[in-house]
Amino acid sequence: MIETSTPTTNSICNNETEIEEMNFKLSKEEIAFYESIQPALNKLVKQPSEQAIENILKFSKSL
Amino acid sequence: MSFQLKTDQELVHLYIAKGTEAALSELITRHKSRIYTSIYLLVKDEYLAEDIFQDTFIKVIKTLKAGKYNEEGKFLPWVLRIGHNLVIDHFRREKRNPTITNGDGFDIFDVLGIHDESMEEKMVKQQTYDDLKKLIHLLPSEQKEVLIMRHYGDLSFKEIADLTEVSINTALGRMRYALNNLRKMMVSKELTLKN
Repeated sequence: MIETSTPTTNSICNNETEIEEMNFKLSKEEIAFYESIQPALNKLVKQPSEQAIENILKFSKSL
Repeated sequence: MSFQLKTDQELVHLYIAKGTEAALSELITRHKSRIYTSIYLLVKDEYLAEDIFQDTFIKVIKTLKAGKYNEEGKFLPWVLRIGHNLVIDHFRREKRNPTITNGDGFDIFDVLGIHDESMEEKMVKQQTYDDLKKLIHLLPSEQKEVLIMRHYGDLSFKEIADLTEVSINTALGRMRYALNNLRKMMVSKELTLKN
């Protein structure tokens, strides 16, 4: 089975990013639609359990 | 020492160089909802999302402690990429389509924060947000992925392109298709969002 590897770097040129994203034009209608659904999308945000976080911190301390 | 005022990079450095557990704790607190929501919306199962969330940070911790983290990049996109890869690994193992899954008891009242509304209004909102979640899940996986990473991960299109190994134009196009498809589905289902 092919498994994905864990990346150790994430090199990103932010200037390039900004320039290319500025060049990307959504139509006014698309932007308005996205803005209209953003609050609803935000309502779907979920939190992990405290137990999950405790487990992670315990793991870290165990090393 | 106020960890809340420190940048991600400063916290990562404190954790790597001095083993400051509180720095790791702050990083998790700071990004947990973005990371967890991104995973959850891809796998659509709370318990599985919790497992992958934990596995993500276990990989993060191992990589940091092994001194393999390259500080050139940003912390959050890096963690999201690890989580994304683990989601892909999961579906590869399961050999099943990520758009088919059982419900997991998602309770919209947990996140709506509704207090002074009538029961009817509450029910309408619950149904509306539940419908929106279902519509998101109906999107083709690559479109859903971009929407989730952009909105919940707050990633740039360059970062999304890098993470999903496509060109920026492809990532941007997928976002556009995701929005247009969502809008069409909302129109066809007469779904109106009221905030």
